[in-house]
Amino acid sequence: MSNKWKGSWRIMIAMIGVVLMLPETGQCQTVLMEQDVNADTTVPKFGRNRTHFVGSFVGAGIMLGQAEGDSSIGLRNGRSAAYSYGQYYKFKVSKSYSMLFSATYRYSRYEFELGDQQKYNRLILNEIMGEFVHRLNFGKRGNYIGNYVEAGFSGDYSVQNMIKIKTKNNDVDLPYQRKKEMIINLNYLQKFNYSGHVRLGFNKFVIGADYRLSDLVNDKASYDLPPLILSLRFDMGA
Amino acid sequence: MKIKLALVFCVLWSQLGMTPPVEEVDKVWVFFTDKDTTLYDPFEFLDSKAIERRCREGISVYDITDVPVNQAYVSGVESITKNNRAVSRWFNAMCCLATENEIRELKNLSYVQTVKITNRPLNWSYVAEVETQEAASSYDLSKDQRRFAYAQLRRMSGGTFKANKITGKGVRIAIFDIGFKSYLTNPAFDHLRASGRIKMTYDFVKKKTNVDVGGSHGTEVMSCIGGKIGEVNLGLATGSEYILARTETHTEFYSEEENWLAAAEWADKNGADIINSSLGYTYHRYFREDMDGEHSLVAKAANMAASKGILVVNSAGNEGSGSWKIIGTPADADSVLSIGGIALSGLHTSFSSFGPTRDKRLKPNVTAYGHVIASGPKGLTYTQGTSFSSPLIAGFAACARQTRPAYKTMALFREIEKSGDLYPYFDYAHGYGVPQATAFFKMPSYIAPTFTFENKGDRYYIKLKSVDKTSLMRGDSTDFTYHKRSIAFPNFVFYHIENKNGYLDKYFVVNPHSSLDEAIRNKSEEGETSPMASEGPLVVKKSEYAKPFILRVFYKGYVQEIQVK
Repeated sequence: MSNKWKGSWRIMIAMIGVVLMLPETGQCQTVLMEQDVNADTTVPKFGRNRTHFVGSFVGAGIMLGQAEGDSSIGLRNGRSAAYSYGQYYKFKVSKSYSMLFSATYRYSRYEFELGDQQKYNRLILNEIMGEFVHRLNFGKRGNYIGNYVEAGFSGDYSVQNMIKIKTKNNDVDLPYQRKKEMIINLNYLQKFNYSGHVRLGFNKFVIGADYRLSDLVNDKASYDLPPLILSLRFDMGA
Repeated sequence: MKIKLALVFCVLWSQLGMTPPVEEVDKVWVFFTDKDTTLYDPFEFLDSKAIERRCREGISVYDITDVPVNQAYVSGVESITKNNRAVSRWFNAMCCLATENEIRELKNLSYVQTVKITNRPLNWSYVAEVETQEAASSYDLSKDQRRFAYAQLRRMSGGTFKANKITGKGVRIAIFDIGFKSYLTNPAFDHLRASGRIKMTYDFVKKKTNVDVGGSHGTEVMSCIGGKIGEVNLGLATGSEYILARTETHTEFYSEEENWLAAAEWADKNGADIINSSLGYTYHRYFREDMDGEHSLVAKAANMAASKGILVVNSAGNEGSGSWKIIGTPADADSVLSIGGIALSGLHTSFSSFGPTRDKRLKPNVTAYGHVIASGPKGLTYTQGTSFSSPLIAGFAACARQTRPAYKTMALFREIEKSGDLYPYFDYAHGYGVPQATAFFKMPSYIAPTFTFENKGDRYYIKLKSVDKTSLMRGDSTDFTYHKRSIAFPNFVFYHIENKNGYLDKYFVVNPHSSLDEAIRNKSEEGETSPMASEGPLVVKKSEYAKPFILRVFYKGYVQEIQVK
């Protein structure tokens, strides 16, 4: 390579180096705020106190009462409980009246009186429920749930049922200390049931009573389980 | 057994479902037919300052709305309901709780014109404070706090008032809040107590005079109007007189609007020139579309106060980043000076509520810092919220009033708007910008054009000129460099599209000086915000907007508009 070419290469490399070392300071604009007033002032149809609303809730309740028809079957008061999670759609018909449709999963657990050496003896139901509810709101309010009473009916399907019993073993000759039994697909329980509900809501907090109108236990057994559940519910909103 | 339980269920249902959960009591307003004017003497009933205000405003001193409600009528209603919540001479009405039977009885009274059921209340309000940082343990200003305190007033060119010895002297300010804890001992009010300028107090919640109650909010708000630590002012109106009203409560949410009305009547009677209310009511009881300045009781009360010549200054609200987004009430009222908040950057701070009103009127009207140093019951504290923008402007307004003693209130209102550093440009985040004290002392000087329009086909190009620093801004707001996180008034481009109906369709703020890196980073973080983020000159595509429209642009104090037909 001639000296002339060598010199040109040096200049080119130097120029590339200078270009690479230049900071990227190209000027342009950044939009810091952009507001569309018309989009902002559209009256929405979706909201807590608008025409349409979809929300979710969690609930917990206790079964009240004792088994009917067989006095030998006792339930442990305050231990039998139900937990639920659901979603609802609310359609506002008028200022004070709305209709709600909800789909709920409920885990119900009936705790029976313990027999000898039993740690627990429980009937567990996993249910899905579809509910239709009438809601009456009180008082003027904004986009806010407010105070209300509601009454409705639901159809419940028992997806799974089982009895779980845990027994403690005190007999040292036996090769175990504890025994867990699980009996599933109990044929004396009805798969389909229907219930009525009344609730009293204070914005997000709801107290209610669910009453099973159908028999949970069919003719294959001589008793029925208490139909009333008192529950608390928390509305989690959209 | 099943049938029995079903019956129990039905009874339970009927108990819960068919009757309300509590005794059915409604809140009602009872409007009376007439007033007894025979013994009314306005010079005896109204404070001398209230008379002066009426004379200034050209309002008759003998106004039927000022005559107190006939006490016999009040007693008559009380004999039926015993649940008196508020009595309003302005509306010749009385608010009470009444059952259905009592309402029927009330309607039968010969002197009752109408009984209006308002609601069975489930009402909450906002106290327009976002967050208060940990309170300092003393009232000694640190170097940083001192700079911050200077900054919050300097942004309004408050030094100009101070240099001209304008401190809001002779102006009486009423503050409505949740209580004024420590106002009797707080060092920020030493100068007020020493000269007996806290004239009057009343707790409309407890119906007594002690207002040294509640949280820190009211005290902090008051300090931003006229507080002073040593020689450092926290607010501009250090020479004003004060009357303090507690209207808010955490335990009885139902009565706040009635309390606000009662406090406004009390402030009127006792000669207030300005009301500062860092309060507002939003979604718990209203819809966004109710924010029309006419819907709520408190908006009506605020407008009535304004019609009596009181300048009502109210915070816009802190819903800017929430789903409600817009102003609350009474900031929606036509005659209320609604105050938005700006950040230290000089632009709208995210929490500050946006306008316009439902009927597309401009709100907020002006803005001030929403991040301040204030004096609370436990010491000096950094705090934020439009609650503190409002008192900064209330203090400003008191000083403005002192410079314009003969102006009618709505004229003063317009002057404050005109003093905004964006005026005549406006948008629904900043209003007319931050009012400048300098505007009350000298005519705005000529500002050379800082940009030009270029019309090319479907596009308008906004071409910015480089301008001399001396023509940057009116006022001394460019001196605002005290706090390291603060900057001088930003040289951003503000522009909006005003439609043929006179309100804005869209508005923008653009930083024309950001680097290419920054723009690209913003684009990748926020998505495709606008084509302008990567283009050279500012571009407005005409075809994007319904014609005719006005394109109005603000840049470095200069405003120009073009009409696109």
